[in-house]
Amino acid sequence: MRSADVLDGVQRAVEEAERNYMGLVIWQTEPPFSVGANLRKTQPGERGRKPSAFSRLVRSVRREAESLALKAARQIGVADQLMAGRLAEVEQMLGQFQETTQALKYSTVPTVAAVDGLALGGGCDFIMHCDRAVASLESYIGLVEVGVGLLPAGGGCKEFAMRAAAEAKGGDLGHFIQGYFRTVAMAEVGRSAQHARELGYLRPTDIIVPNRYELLHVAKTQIRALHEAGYRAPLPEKAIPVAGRNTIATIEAYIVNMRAGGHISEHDYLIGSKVATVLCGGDLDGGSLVDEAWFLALERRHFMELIATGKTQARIEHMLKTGKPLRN
Amino acid sequence: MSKQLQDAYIVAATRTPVGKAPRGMLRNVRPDDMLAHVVKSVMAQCPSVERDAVEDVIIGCAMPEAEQGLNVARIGLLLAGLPDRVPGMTINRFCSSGVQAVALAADRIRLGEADVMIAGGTESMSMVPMSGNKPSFNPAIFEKDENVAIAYGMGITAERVATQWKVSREAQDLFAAESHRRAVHAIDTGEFRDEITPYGVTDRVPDLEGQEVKKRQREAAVDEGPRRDTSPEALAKLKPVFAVKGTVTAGNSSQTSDGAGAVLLMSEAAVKRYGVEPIGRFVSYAVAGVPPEIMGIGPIKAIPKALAVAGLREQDIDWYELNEAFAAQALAVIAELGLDRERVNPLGGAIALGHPLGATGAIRTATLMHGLRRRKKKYGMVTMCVGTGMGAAGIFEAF
Repeated sequence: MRSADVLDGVQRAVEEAERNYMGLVIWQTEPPFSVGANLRKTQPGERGRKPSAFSRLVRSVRREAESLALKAARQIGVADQLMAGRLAEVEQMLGQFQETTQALKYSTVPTVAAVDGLALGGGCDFIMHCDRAVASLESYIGLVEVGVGLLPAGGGCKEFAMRAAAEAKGGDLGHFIQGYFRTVAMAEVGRSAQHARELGYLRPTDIIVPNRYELLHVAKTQIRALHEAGYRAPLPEKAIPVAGRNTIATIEAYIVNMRAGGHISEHDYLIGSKVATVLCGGDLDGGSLVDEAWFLALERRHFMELIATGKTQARIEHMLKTGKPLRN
Repeated sequence: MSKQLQDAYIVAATRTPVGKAPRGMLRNVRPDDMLAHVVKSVMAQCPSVERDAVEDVIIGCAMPEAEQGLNVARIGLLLAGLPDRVPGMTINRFCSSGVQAVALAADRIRLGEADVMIAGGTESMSMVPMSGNKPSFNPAIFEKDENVAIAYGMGITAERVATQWKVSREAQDLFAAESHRRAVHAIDTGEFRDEITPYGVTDRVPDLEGQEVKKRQREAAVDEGPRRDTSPEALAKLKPVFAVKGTVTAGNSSQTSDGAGAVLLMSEAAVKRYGVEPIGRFVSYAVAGVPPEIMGIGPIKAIPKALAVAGLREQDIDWYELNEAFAAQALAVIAELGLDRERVNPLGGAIALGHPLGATGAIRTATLMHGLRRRKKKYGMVTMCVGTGMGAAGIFEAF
C-alpha cells in the first residue's frame, strides 16, 4: 500500500467516525502499533525478547513501512535522476501527512491510539496527535527520523514545541525545549511505555496498561468516557510562544562541543541545528507568538532541506540496503 | 614597574575547607553563608580593627546568580556582621575572580583611596552549576567560524591544548596522581591548618516518626577532594570525557567544588594604627587574553606580564599556585615557561584540592601566604587560566 493510501485511509476513517461513530480507535491486532499501513508482522520468536534500544531501532527501521522518512526515501529513490520531481512529490506527501495528523487532533470525535510494540517515526507522530494514547507497557515509542538524517515532520516536533510551551507556563521555555531536543536529536526510543512518558512521547493523561490484551477494551472505554464527558474538539492554538533564536544558539553551543569532541559529525551538527531551529520556532525573538501552521511549515522546510543533501540520501540508502545506520 | 603610592599589606587570609560538588560536605551550605564565615574570620583575626573601618568588600564569584546572586558580596558582609556603612561588590572574571578581587582591593589601597579592604571569593558549585542555571548563548557566536570557540566547553579547550602542546595522556595522569599525593601529604602534615577556618555545618533532616526537624551538627575542617587511593594506573583507566579520542578525563581535570576565601588588606597607616602584623604584601597583578579555544595557556601570557610589572624574574618566585584547571594546560604552562615543577603547587592543586571557580583565587592566596611564611620563602604567585581565553597572575611577598 502506498503511504498516500495510508494517509487517505486514516483521513477517511476520521470522517467516517465523525459521521457515524462515538470516536476512533487506531490499533493493530498484533504488535507493532501501526497507523494503518501494511506493516509486516512481528517475526515469530521476536516477541518476548528484550532487544537493546538500538537494535530495536535498527530492526524497526528495516521493517520500514511506518517511518514517513523511509516512505519518502523509497519514493524518491536515492540518487534518482528525477530527484527534483520526486522531491516535489515527497513534499506533497509530507503536507498530506501533516493534514492527517491534524485531522486526528481536531476531529470532532475523540481519537485514541491503542499502542503495543513498536511505534516509531510516523507512527509516533500519529500517537502524539490523538486525544489519548493507551499503550501497553511493552511499547517502544520514538521519533527516529534523525537516525536516517532527517527530522520528524509529521507534527512531532510541533507537538513537542507546544508541550514545552505549556509546561513552561510562561517561565523558561528554553529549558523544556532543550529536553525535547535531546529526545529528538538522539532519536530516543522509549524502552517501555513508562520510559516513553518520561521522554515526553506519552502525556501524563495517556494511559499505560500492563497487559496488551486490555488495550482495546481500555481504548474503547476511553472513547466512551471522553464522549460521555461532552467531548469537544480542541480549539486550534493560535498564540504559541516560541523559544526563539537565543535557545537555538544555546543548543548549538551544546552540539558545537559534541562536534569538536568528535562525538558527532558535521552532518549530525547540521541535522541537530535544524531540529533546534524547528523546535524553537525559527529565527524569532523568544516569546514571539505563532500558530501550529508556523511549526508545520518549519518541519516541512527543514525536512526537505535535509532530504536534498547527499549525506542524508547516503544514510537513507545505506539503511535501506543494510538495515544499519550510516555515520557520515 | 608599579607606580603605586603606597603598599597594600595582607594582614589576614583564610578560607573554608573545600568540599566536593555537588554531593560533598558543603552541598547544603549557601555561598553567602560561606562568605560571611570567612569575612568574620579575617576580622576576628585582627580584633583591633573597627568593623566600620572597612572601606569596601570586593568578592569574586564566577556564576553570580541564584544562591550567589543579588550581589553576594554585600549580602555576605552584612551577614558577617559588618555595619551598614560598609559597601560590597561582586566581580567576575571566572576562575580568576578571587585573586582579581584581591588585586582590585589592593589597588584601592595602593592608590591611597582606602586603608582597610576585604577581598575574597565564594562559589557553591553544588548550588549553581558550571555555566549557571540558565546558560544562553548569543546567536552571533555561530555566524562566524572564528567566534565558535566562545561556546567551547573548558574540556574541549583542554583537549586542544593537549594536542597543540603535545601533552600525553600518561603525563596528565602522572601529574594528577602527583597532585593528589602532594595534597594528601599536606593534609597529613597539617600544612593547611593555618589557613582553614573550619565550618560548622548544620544538617536538617526530617524525623518522620517524631514529626520534627532534626538538626545534626558536624564540622568541616579538611579538604574533601584529595584521594589517598588514586594512582597513575587507576587514573589511566578513566575514559576521556570531552572528546572521543581525547586524553582529558575526570581524573586529570579539576574537581567541581564548594568553598570561600577572604583576605584582609591594609595600608601601612592602618597597619600602624591597629597594631597588626602583616603576613605579606601585594606585589603585582596582570591579566592577558589568548584564543578562547586554547584558554588553558592563559598563564603563559599573564605570568611574564605580572613579573615584568613587579620587576622580578621567573626564578625569583619561590612558590607558584598554578590552578590546575586541567593537567593538560598546567603541563603546557609549566613546559612553555620552563617552571620548576617542585615550586609549582607543592601542596597539590585543583585536581586534588578542588576548584570552586570564583573562590579559588582567594583560597589559593591564603594557601600561598601561609605556605610562604611557614617555609620562610619570599615571593609567590597565584595564577590561572580563565574561560573564554584569558590568564591571570598575582604576585605576593610574604614576611
